[in-house]
Parts: sequence; structure tokens; C-alpha cells
Amino acid sequence: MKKLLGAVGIMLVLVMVLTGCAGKDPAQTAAPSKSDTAGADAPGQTGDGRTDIVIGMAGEPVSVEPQSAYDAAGSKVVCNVYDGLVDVDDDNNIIANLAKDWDISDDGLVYTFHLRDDIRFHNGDPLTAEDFVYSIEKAIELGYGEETTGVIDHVEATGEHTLDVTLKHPYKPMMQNFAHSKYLYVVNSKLAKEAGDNFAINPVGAGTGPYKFVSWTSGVNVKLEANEDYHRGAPAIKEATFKFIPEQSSGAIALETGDVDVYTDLSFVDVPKLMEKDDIQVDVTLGRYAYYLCMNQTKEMFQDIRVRQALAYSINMDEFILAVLNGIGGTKTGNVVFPDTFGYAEGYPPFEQNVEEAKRLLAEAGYPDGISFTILATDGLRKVSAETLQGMMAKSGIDVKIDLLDFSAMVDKQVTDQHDVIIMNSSAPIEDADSELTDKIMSGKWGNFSRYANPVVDDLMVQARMELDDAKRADLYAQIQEILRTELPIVPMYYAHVASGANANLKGFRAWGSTYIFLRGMSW
Amino acid sequence: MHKYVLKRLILMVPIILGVIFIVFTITSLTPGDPGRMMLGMTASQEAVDKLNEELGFNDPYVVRFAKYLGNIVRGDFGKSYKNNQPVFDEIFARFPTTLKLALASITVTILIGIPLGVLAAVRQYSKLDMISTVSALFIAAVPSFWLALVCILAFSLHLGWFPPNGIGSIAHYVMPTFTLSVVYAASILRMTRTTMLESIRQDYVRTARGKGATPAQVIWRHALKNALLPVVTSMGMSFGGLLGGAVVIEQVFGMPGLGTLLINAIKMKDIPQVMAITIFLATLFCTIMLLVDILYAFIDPRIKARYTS
Repeated sequence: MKKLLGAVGIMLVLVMVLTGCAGKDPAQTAAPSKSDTAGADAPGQTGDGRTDIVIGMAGEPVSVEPQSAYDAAGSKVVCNVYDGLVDVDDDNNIIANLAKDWDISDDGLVYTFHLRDDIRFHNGDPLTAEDFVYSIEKAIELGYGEETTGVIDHVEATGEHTLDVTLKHPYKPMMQNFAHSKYLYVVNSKLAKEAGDNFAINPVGAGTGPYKFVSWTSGVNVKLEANEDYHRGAPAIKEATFKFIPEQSSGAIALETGDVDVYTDLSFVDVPKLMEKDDIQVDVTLGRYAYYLCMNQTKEMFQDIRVRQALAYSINMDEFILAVLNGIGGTKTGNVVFPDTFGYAEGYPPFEQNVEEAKRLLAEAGYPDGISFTILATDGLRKVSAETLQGMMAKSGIDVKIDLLDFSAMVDKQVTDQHDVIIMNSSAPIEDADSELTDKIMSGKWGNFSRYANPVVDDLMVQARMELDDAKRADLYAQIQEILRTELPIVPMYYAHVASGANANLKGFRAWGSTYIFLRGMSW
Repeated sequence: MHKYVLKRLILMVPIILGVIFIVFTITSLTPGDPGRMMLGMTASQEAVDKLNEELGFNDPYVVRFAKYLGNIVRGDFGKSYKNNQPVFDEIFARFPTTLKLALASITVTILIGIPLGVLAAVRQYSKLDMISTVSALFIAAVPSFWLALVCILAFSLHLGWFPPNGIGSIAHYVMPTFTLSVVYAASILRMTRTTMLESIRQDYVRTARGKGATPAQVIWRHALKNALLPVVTSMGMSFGGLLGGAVVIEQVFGMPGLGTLLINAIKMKDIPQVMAITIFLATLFCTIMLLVDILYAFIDPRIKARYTS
């Protein structure tokens, strides 16, 4: 009989839960939970006197070795454990870090770095130029960071603390690469060689950064502790735990309950609700992704500039951002270069929807009855985006079909030129027009899925890349952006945002657009 | 009995070989390659090709399959494409979580499902029967991720009783166990009710009553034993399924079990990892089904007699 009562009780609770919660909006009724239910590793809501932090993120790192941590979760860990030759200040100016100073040869090919001689790895070994040689060679060999390491020809130690990096061709933004690219961070070469394959998952003692790697429990968390001897001062937060919460809605709830202090990958659906809460701070910032339409110009229809323009005029970006990104997940743009980057040219506002103009352009191009094409998409954001475009473009007489595929199947179709239109996003590792444009518009580049090939643009891109004078470089990029606006090989859509949330008591918190999160500046 | 068990054990070999063949073939037939998955959309084709070459993914299907079989015969299941670690290291790191969750869930399932099923059958058409049958039907129709999210909203966010995410303490397992077991309990309840209804109408039950056994004895000792056979099979399969990882539940509650490992490995096209998990689970499932069959013998002497003859 006891069993029966217990079972009936559970059933009753269940029925109550099901009927009671279904209709209510939890955001309006929920009181912030103060109770510490999560056991020893769960932080409370208040921040007084705390020196630990729990960061929730949507993925588990593939590696915690900077040269192979190619994913966003891995980046968040390695940027706290390792250091680079140089760093940037708040205005993105290059400042010294492990290198105290540096010279660049007149031809712009050889970068000579003079390393500080007082730096030690977390295990106590002194840092030498050989460690950088090992790290950079490893990055080139692995190839994950090709965008930033591809330009390096070779690297050698010319003294115990002197390092020469030789480029394949002059490249003005190279210092930005040294500052931002995790692939160019230094690891303890002795430990790395000893550990072999294990190094990527257990690099204890191998960094020089503000935090020491402690442990990685598969599927659960990565733990770090403060490096009290950090050359730029010991961080305020002493213990950091990175927790893996793949489901974004679970991440938002974990933030609300105080199960985590920070969640770095908020869904835009959860952001407005969290913003209303007093005990939570939410930061939305520009990510390093621009979204744009690629129209395959090996297809006859898209070789006509007027057809490409018609597509641009058929989109209502305000409505799109409202429908697809909950109104807050992006900023519409008429230029794929980011406003804060070197080489950005002003004067290219976003396109406004103009159905009549779109129809007129199509008729002029010889399609008075409209056109029809297919957008390739994968489940998720791409699918929703394609469906939204489908509805908008129909008004201008453009019939959009959607081909829903698996990610790798979609890439297969793109590579073999079977696509009409795709919605692309590509990241730029550094804030420079070269990094943001090359893969999108230069002929023969892998990411150029519009198959745009304009010798003039190619030539200007090469010139700009080789040019060492900033004013001349900026002018070259301005010319390129003018051509892109007139010829419209790709239709810029929006700059993607990223949203992170944290306990309101955490100081120094913000969202980083670069997939990193720097814990050193944070405190309670 | 021993002979029977031995025969079943030997039969497992072709079954597992079949599983290996099917899964290996499917992973080879699907488009895409691990290099592209790992390097992403923006990486150059040369970089992707180079990585695929290093991973040995560019060899023809037959060569790769032969190599793979040769290696596992020697006990080498390969290294994960993702982090170059032996694949079983990862499996053994994840398995305890899945096992704990599966054991807890199956226990709760039995504790809820069987007694309620029996009572529903004994008091057929009573209010208890109505309530339990209808709610079982309802729960069986509810998607488990929805139930999981409702639980998180109610018990983590509103009431603050249980942590919403992760593992580490017993409290972390309460909600996942509850969500999993109510769904399984619902089907076990319905099954127990049906089989009990059949068996309480049998002649031997009437005989038991006739000889003066108490109603409780008649039901729990005589009728239930016979009614349990199909239920035990179903529970064995449920348990096997639970071990395979309650993928959705693990994902929602952020639990590092086999299910999430398998899903991530499939997404990354991490073939050695996918294969190893599949082989591990197939072996486990076969073993559980064998244990269920042996358990039959203890529940039903007629079957035991058949084994020994």
C-alpha cells in the first residue's frame, strides 16, 4: 500500500506540474532562486568576496592546445592559459606582451622579436625563442589556423630570446595576426614533445598566460587556476570552471538559477527575458561574422548585374532580423567589411526593399515574368533564413525553392558548383579588410561561392595586401568596395551579433565577438 | 542451460559483425568527410584534403574496412579523429554517467509501473484504473524533451529544488531520472495491466483462490509471475535502450553520457569513435537480452525445463 501511495503521489505531482506550468510565462512568475541546490561546485547568487567563477558555454573544446583548438569552446579556454608575442589595447593598437620590442625589415618580410627574458611557463621552465619556433611550426603543420599562419614562410630562433619570423610576401596586418591569433600562442615545447598526443587534452604547466590549466573532465568541465606570477599581474578571480551546456535554453536557465555565473552563447530568444532581470547582466555585441547572399555566377541568370541588384531590392532586412533573429541578433548592412576594421569605406548603406525596382530590373534583364532558383540550406538558422527570404522575394516575382541538406552534403554541392544561391557567413580572424574580403571575392578562393572573378578586383586585392603604406592601402580598399557596390557580386545582409549573460555582480564582464572570453579583467 | 548460454554467446559474434558492417558502410556512404567537418566552411580544400589524408580517410572503402577489421581483431579500436585519444578511454569516461542514469531510471520505472499496472488490472474500471491508464496514455504521448524542460522550469527555476544542469551530486540525477522513468513507466504500466488482466482470468488463479489463498497471495505470487514474462522482455529492451544513452535527456540536462558522445561523434564524422560506441552498445545489448532470457528460466519453470532437456 505504501508503494501505491508513493506512486500515486508522483503521478499527482506530475499532473500538477503539467497543468500548472503549461500556460504560465515563467519569466513573470519566477522568483530568483537563492538556494544552493547544486552541491559543492554551485555558486550562490551574491558575489561578495568570491574568487571563483563558473562559465557555461555551448560546446566542449576539441582541444586545449592553442594550435589545434579550432572551435569556439577551445578558444575560450586557450585565450586564458596561453599568451602571444604581442597583444592589443582597448583601441586595438599593438602593445608588447611576451615580446618586449620588435623590428620589421624594410621590405616588410622579416619580423624580429626580442622576447622578455623573465617569463616562465606554469611549470617553471623559462620561455625561450625555441618554444615559439616549435609552436608556430606546429600551427603551420596542423593547418587549422591557415588564415593567419598561411602567410608565414619560416621561423627561426636567432638567439635565446630572439625570434625571426619570415613571411612569404609583405603583409601589413601581420602584427594583428600575432596579437589575435590563438594559433600563434606559445606552448612549452619540451612538455609538448614529451606528452605527444596527450598534450592536446592535458597540457598541464605548458602555458605562460594568466591562468594555469588544471584538469579537463570529458563531457563535464575544464578547470583553471590563477597564475599568481603572471607577468602582467595576478588575476582577481582565482578559480575558473568552464562547464559544457550544449542546449542554449538550458544555459539561460542555468544562468538564472545561479548554476553558472556566465553563459557565453545565449540564444536571442532568451535575451529579452534575461535583460529584464535585475540580478543578470546581458551584453550583445558584434560577432566577427557577416552574413551575405552568394549568387553562383557560373549560372547565366546571375551573370546579369541587374538580376543581382533585383535580389538585393527584394529583401526587407528589418523584417528579416525581426523574424529570424528576434530583432536583436544582427545589424543590417550594405557592406561586408566591418565598420571598425582597417579599410572600411563609408557610404554604402543597407539596401531597402523596393518591390517595383526589383521587378523593373528583372524585366530589363529579360525576365518580365520573374525568376526561379534554389537556396541550399541546412537545418537551423540557414533554413529559417531561407524560408524568410522565400516569402519576401515572392513579392518581387522571384520564386525561391529550398533544398534542405546535411551540412557536408551542402558543402559538396557548393564545391561542385551545383548551387544557385546560398546564405554564407565567413569569419574574419583579424580586423582588417584583407581578412574580411579575400575569401569572399577573390577569384579561385575556396570561400568564393559566388564564383565572382574580376581581374581588376583581384589585382587591387593583391596590391593592397602587399602595400605597406596605410593611406595607400585604405585607398585601395575603398576602390574595391566601390566596385563591389556597383557590381554586387554578393549581397551583404547583416553583421551577426553574439550575446553573453552574467551574474550582475561580476565586474569587467562583456561579450567578445571573437569567440574569446578574457577572465583576467573580471572580478567580484 | 550452460550449453544454451554458450550457444547464445557464440551467436553474438555474427550479430556484432553484422552491426560493424552496417554501421561502417552507412558512415562511408553518407556525404561529407571528417576534414571538412573539423576545419569548417571557410577552410581551403587543400587543408581539408591534407587532414583527410592524415586520418586515412582517403583510402577506398574496402581497404579501410579490411584495415579496421584487422585492427579490432588485435584489440585496436583506433583513435578518435577529434583528439587523437584511444576511443575506449572516452567511452569508459562517459559510461558511468549513463549507467547510473539507466539503473536509476529502470528501478523507478519498475517501482512505479508494475504495482500501478497490477492495481489497475485488479480493480479494472475503478477510478484508480481510469486515472493511471489515462495519465499513462498522456505521458506516453508527451515528448521527453518537453517534459524535461517543464521539469527544469518548475523544479529548478521556480522552486529551486534541483540543479538544472550537469552531474556531480545525487540531486543532479533526480530530474533526468524522473523524466526518463515516467515515460518508460507509462508503457510498463499499460503492459502489466494488459497481461495481468489476461492471467487473473486463468483457471489456475481460480484454483488458487479456491484453495483458500489470500487475495494478495493470489495476485502477487500466482498471477503476477505469469503476467511478468512479456514485461521482463520489454524492460530488458528498455534498459538496453537507456544504456544506449537517453540522447535527448542527456543533452537537455547537460549530462556527459554515451548519448551525447555518440551524437557529437556522428556530427563530426568521427568514424573510429562512432564505430567503437556502436560495437560497445551492441555487445552490451546482446548481453542484456541474454540475461533477460536466463531470467525467464527463474520466473517460469516451464522454460527452465526446456533449457535443461
